[in-house]
Amino acid sequence: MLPFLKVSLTGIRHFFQQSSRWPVGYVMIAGLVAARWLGLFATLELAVFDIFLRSRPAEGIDEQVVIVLIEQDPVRVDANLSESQLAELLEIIFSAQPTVVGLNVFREEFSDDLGREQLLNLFETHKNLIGVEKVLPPRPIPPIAPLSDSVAQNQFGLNDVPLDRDGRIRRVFVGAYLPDDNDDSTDNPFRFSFSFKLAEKYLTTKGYALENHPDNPDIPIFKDPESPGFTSIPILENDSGGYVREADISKIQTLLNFRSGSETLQVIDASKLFDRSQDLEALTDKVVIVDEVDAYFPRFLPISASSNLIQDSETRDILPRIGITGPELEAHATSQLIRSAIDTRPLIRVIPFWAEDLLIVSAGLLGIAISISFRSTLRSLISLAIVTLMVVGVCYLSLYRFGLWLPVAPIAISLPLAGITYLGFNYRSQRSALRSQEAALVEVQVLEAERQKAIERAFSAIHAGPLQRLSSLLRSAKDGKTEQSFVLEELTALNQEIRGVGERLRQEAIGDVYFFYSQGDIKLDLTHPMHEVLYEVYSLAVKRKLPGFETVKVRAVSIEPFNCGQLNLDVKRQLCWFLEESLQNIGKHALGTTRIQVLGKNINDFYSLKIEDNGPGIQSTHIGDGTQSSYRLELMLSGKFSRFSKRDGKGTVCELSWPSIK
Amino acid sequence: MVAIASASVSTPPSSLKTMTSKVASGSDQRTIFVVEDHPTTLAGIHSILERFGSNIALETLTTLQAAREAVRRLRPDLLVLDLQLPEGPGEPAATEFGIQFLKSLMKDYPEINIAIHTSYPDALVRIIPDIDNHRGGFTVTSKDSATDKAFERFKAALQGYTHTRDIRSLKAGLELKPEWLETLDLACKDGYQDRAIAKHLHVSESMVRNYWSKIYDVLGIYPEDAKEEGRNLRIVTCLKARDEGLIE
Repeated sequence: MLPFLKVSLTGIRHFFQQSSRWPVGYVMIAGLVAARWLGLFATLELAVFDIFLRSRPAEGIDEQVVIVLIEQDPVRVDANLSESQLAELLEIIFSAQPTVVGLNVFREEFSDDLGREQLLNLFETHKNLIGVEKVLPPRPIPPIAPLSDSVAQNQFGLNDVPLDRDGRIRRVFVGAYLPDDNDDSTDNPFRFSFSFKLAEKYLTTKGYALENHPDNPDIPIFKDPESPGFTSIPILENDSGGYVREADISKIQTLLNFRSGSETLQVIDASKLFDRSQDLEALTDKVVIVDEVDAYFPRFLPISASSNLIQDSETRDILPRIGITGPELEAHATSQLIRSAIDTRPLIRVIPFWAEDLLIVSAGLLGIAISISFRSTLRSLISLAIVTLMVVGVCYLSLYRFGLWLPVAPIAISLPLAGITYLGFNYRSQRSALRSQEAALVEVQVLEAERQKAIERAFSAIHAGPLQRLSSLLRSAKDGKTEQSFVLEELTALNQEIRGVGERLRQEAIGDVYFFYSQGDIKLDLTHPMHEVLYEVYSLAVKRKLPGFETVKVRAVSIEPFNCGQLNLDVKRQLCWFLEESLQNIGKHALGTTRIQVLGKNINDFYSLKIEDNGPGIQSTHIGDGTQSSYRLELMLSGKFSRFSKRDGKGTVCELSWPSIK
Repeated sequence: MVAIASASVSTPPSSLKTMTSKVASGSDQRTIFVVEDHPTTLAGIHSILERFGSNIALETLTTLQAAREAVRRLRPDLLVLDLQLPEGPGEPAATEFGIQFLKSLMKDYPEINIAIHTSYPDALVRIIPDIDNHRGGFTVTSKDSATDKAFERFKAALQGYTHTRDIRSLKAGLELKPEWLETLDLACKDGYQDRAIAKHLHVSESMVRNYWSKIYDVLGIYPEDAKEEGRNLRIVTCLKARDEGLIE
């Protein structure tokens, strides 16, 4: 347990260390929470809420609630049901012994209709007949009169409908404090809603008891007679769920968890009751809601639920599904209360606002964590998409299964958004990692080139010094010149030269010098103008005792100054070495040379360094190491190297030219 | 080395007239600047210069700054120069400073006569091409040379001659600039005169005369000697050049 905890703590610390390096994600999350607080998400959240509710699987017909629908003819108003006919209908319904009957029909408060007496009588005699009234502005409609006070208070419920800011209906009244003249609202008379009254009557007959929540007297609960638990009705606050300071939310409202699907309620045509064509048993032990509906143009309320009135495809085409009718709304509201008490079908609840914000922040952090835990941007992106979908799925399920309305929209935005900002971060850090990798690679290349140069320098040092002596010694030996004193002298010199190579390399590595190896080391200062340095190399090179130089009579030398400020030390060294090597070749191979020409000239935009002799010309096609080095130098200067015999076969030309730098 | 003490200072060879410095005042008066910071050596130089007699105006400078200033003020007929010199008073002396001074001096005053008197003649190897391009007299003397020899070199420089064999070292063959070889070719093979050679090489006639002076130096011909022996300097030169393989 402890090690695991330790690991996860380290992980969390690591996570925060990493993510705080690029705090845009945090800013995003904070911005989202702030935006939600400002209400920018309210419309979106409510819309998503609607979509979620509507997309639940169909629940089928509620067996407890039946609607008896009286069709009104909008053209022939006098053909509509009179109060006596209404009373007759109620009597037919009561003969079926329903548990509770709700009359969701308004009539004028005072009327001299012959049926009024009958209606009033029905209310007085049937305690399970519930009437409606409207209590809230703009236009309250009182119960029909004259009724005794107890009947008016106990058997009438309000059927006002609270509208959301977007004009839709998502909540219903459980009850309301009636407005009165004084400002103090605590002593206002309280009225339950019509649907609540119906549910309450039904549930009390089933043995449930309506009580106040032990912790909050505002919350009504239904107590199950057989179990210690109770069903509480979730009460909405102004900031519940997706609502942000919704002023219309007053005490006491709850969210409408309508039955999903298009066939959810049994609807009985009143005319069938009149002509006795309807089996009355359908009403027995049920909640019966009696209501009038315009036969041609029923008034649909803007609710996401599907109306039972539009079932066949013909009417569906004519009437767009824009909601449900009044009696359906009351039936859904009654049904959800009864179902939650009996079947534990969930009512819609919300979590405290701080918990919602916590969820949003956590989702954002989760997004960040996902983003930075993958190295590949694509993987991060895919994971973000998957996790976001999963979270949305969990939100949907929690609403469907447990009636829990979670802030799905902000979560579904905060998770990928915060994550995506870290994709950029990852990209950045990947790029910087890549850059540092490249830098390391370049460094390696530089080191490699340096190593290569060191090897080349070592080789040219050996080539220019000891190897020359060795080859001349070999030549002498072949020619039979093997006097001990001569050989000894040569070998001693060779020994010295080889020792000198190491010293030369060591010193070359540290200073701006070129080591010309002769009897003693001679350092040439490479900070001097190169034409002077090259002249020094030349004059030192021709001093060498080499067979090719023995016959030389004339040396024509002219090395013009050239711009060498841009040349690096290595190129300078290589240039010196090139001249030394070229002259060395004459000394070694061009036997019988009488004239050496060394010309350094600016020709147009090029500088050309040309070493010429009038010896026997190139005799072997073998490309020596010296020539190879010259080709490397050609590359370094992006110039041109060529070595060829003169046209008449008398002499060799060795030329290096490169673009001069202005 | 043949002594040239008997040669008249006031009557240089006609071909060298332009190269000798303008006389500062009077017909025989010569101005000589000595740039040297070491007192002992300075005394030695003074004793050498005493041989020039009374028609000499001598000025001694101990730093390169002072020398630069003095030359700007008045062009001397001869500049005797050590190489290891300090830039200003109290500063350390270095051969490199002297070399740099010499280079800029030759660049700014291409016809000034210079006699280098130094312990390290080898330091000049690097600027041989510049010396070859210099049109005034240029001689080099090592500090350990005998007084006679030093005097001869100073005098040769004053007369506009070049003597640089000491720094040209022991190399096989002779080193020439390509222009000099062309000059030799044109004169000895084609028999051209200076004017024609100048036209051919696209240089001034005085430049051609400068080339000749350089060629004499390379071939070790001393005009005064040749004249004394009554020989034609150009013909002697051509013969020697042919001997040395300069002309094919």
